[in-house]
Amino acid sequence: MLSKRLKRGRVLSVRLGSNPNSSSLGVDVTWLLGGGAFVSLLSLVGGTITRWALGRRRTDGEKPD
Amino acid sequence: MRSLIEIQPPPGGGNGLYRHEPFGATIAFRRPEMVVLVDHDFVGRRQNRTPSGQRSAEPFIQPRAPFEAHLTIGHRCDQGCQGCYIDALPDGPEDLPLAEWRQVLAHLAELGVYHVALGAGESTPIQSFITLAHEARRLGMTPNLSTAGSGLTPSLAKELSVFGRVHLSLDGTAAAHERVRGHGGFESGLMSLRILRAFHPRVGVNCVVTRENFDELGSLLRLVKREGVRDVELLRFKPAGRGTRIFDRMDMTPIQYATFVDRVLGLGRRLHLHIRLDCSFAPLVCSAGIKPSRLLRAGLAGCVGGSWLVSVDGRGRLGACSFDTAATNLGWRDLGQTNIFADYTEWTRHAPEPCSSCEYLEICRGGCHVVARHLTGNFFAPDPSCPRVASMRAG
Repeated sequence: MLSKRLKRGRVLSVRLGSNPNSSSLGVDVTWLLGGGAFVSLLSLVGGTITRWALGRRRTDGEKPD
Repeated sequence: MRSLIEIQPPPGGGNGLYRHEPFGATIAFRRPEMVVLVDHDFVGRRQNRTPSGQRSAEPFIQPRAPFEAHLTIGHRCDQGCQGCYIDALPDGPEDLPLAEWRQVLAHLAELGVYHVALGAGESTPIQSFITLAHEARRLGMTPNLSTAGSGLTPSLAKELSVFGRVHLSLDGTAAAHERVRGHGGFESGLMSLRILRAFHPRVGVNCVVTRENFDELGSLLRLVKREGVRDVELLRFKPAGRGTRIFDRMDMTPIQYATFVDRVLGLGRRLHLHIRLDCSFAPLVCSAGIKPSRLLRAGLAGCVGGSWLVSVDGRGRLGACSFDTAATNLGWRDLGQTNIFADYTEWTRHAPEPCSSCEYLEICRGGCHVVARHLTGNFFAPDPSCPRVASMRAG
């Protein structure tokens, strides 16, 4: 189970939105309100969308690497 | 050769951009708007292994190129804000011509930068922003804009739709705004916000939090909510430009620092606002009792100047962040050279106590080094606003 998970790889970080400010880097902290469960969900959703997008690329005959 | 590879969109979403990294890869999506950092296994790449067979621990804080660049395209301004971090003046120095800004954008795109955030003194014609935003789009980058909204008309606001997001600076409701800026202008700012809201789907408000407007933060956020805006970015006052001279009387008080995160999150919860905090608030967020692994996964980062972000000012000077461009002898063409911001990117290696033993070190990265340098005379000192640092100093 663990080796399969390692093989599938990990989402290291998901940064929501893009920084609208031209002087410093802003991070959305709204997720702090939801606690740990929200962060796990964020990783899951970010990972799923990324796998889907990368999978489509491979299906189309191109590899990102 | 472009460093970015276009990838297929998620269902119903905008296209994404893929970039190899020392730690794996990053993928920037336009819709849903997010940057996802993944490891080597995730993208099926063979990764380096240590002699013992373990994975090499490559910190994902160091991407191969910045995720975003902050471009201050003009230094001329007739507003005279007392804390202006770029020290903009009506007869300020001549700025780079638009033709050279196009070269800057091309260079950033070639390196694989995802976002550019534009700003300037208020004498800069809005049309210049629009021209550069179209160029950024053409090169595959997402442009964002922060402005005080001077001279904004409905027809110009329509053209600002080329930007992914537009944030308007308001530093409080009328009296607080005036105390922070040192002059009026709240009403015209509010009018600009209404014009923007009418023509752009993603408008937000930036507010510099100081001891002068801290108590009225709730009033501002309620006003923002009433105006139909959901995104607010809160910034810390920085000792840069004219802000250096008044930092001591504008910086938040110790009690305000201690209560800031709870207060802001409480307001965000009650008003259903999306609150963003700038990187210099990281020591405060790290003190909120959330596990470091969770903060990392949610993308919280302290000082990532010179790695996740860089800045270019109106004279073409390259900086690790917008508050430090004058401290380097670098120009925008230097971006892409190895290790040019080593003081920033390797700060954690030299971190003193209490940072060196702090479990949040790789997230917080010592807080704001520009603030620390101003207050202590030492760039490598910990940010004095951190509760852990304050506690150690208090003995």
